[in-house]
Amino acid sequence: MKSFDHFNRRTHLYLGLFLTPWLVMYGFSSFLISHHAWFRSDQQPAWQPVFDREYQRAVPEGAELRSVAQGILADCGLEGAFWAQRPKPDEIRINRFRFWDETRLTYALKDHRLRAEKQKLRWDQVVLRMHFRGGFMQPTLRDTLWAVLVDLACVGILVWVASGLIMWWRLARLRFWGALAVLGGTVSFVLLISRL
Amino acid sequence: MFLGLFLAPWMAMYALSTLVMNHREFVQTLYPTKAPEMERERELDYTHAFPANAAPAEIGAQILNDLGLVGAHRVSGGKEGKPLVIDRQHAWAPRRITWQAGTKKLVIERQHFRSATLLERMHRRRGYDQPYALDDTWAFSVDLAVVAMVFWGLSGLWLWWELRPTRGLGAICAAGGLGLFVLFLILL
Repeated sequence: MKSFDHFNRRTHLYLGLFLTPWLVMYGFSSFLISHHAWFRSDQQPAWQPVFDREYQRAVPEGAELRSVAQGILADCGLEGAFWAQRPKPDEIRINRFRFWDETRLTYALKDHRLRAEKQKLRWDQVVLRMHFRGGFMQPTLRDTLWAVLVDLACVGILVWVASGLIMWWRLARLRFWGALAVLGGTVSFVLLISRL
Repeated sequence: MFLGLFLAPWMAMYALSTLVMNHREFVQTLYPTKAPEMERERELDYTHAFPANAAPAEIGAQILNDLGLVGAHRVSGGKEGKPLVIDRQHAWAPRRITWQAGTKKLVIERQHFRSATLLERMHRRRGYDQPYALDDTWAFSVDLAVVAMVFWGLSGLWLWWELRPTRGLGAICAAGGLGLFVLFLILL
């Protein structure tokens, strides 16, 4: 059993060391989100104009919005992670985001004009973008790899919880107080969730 | 350690809910509809008289009070003849309450339960915006969890440095994690 305990402790430690940057980032960004009023992090930085030019792209009826947006981004040399929406029938809006900044493209189909605006760098927004970035729907391999790392961080946290529980159980002198902590946490969590 | 044991349910919830959100497209294929369906729970007459200048938020709070459903909520509509809609948040069973001032009818709908939606809802529930002690308590527990996360990360570094036999492999893990993180910070 000694070798299992050793393996468990080391897994807990090394996994924690590897995931420290993610833990710090998720912790810090969650605090910003929870206290957005203190940091004014819910107020987006102002959009600065980049260009406003004539642009022609035929958008067939029923065309898939993401593929149209991808084509527009490619024409501007802005390939990468994005969201697209069509707030009006004759307008396509694309948000091309990176951790550091965000560019908004607005294509007015009727007027054949494409406008680009960019947000200035703000540190709180960088951390928030990292927090919200995830999923496997973005077109680049980098984004997919980041999503894999997010998965790894989640699985890592679950392994961390499980290995922490095993570590506590194996330390006989801490069982009583540990049991109180586990019970207290579980009961508080269940009570809160059932009433919230 | 004791803080970790206490906060284990929060950490497990955040990890599981992040997995659900990270694989949203796949998770959605497991259900017949994108969003959980709303089921009509009851419909009743509601004849409470409100002053003409009553704000939608006041009306919403009064309706919830009269229904015995006081708690975290959001109010929309209720102006220019549009129905007033109250989204009553709840971890397990959120409700949508629609009031038509013209017909004095109240419709209460309850969202079908989905474990994936529950996780996502709990993940997003935070902040001190609601005027209820229960919500503040939850927000405080979230604060505690995030401060603990940062503390564990940093205290783990100190712990590793104190354990001499782990320094070599630990340095590779720490440098590997930090290196990858910085690389993606530059690339993305």
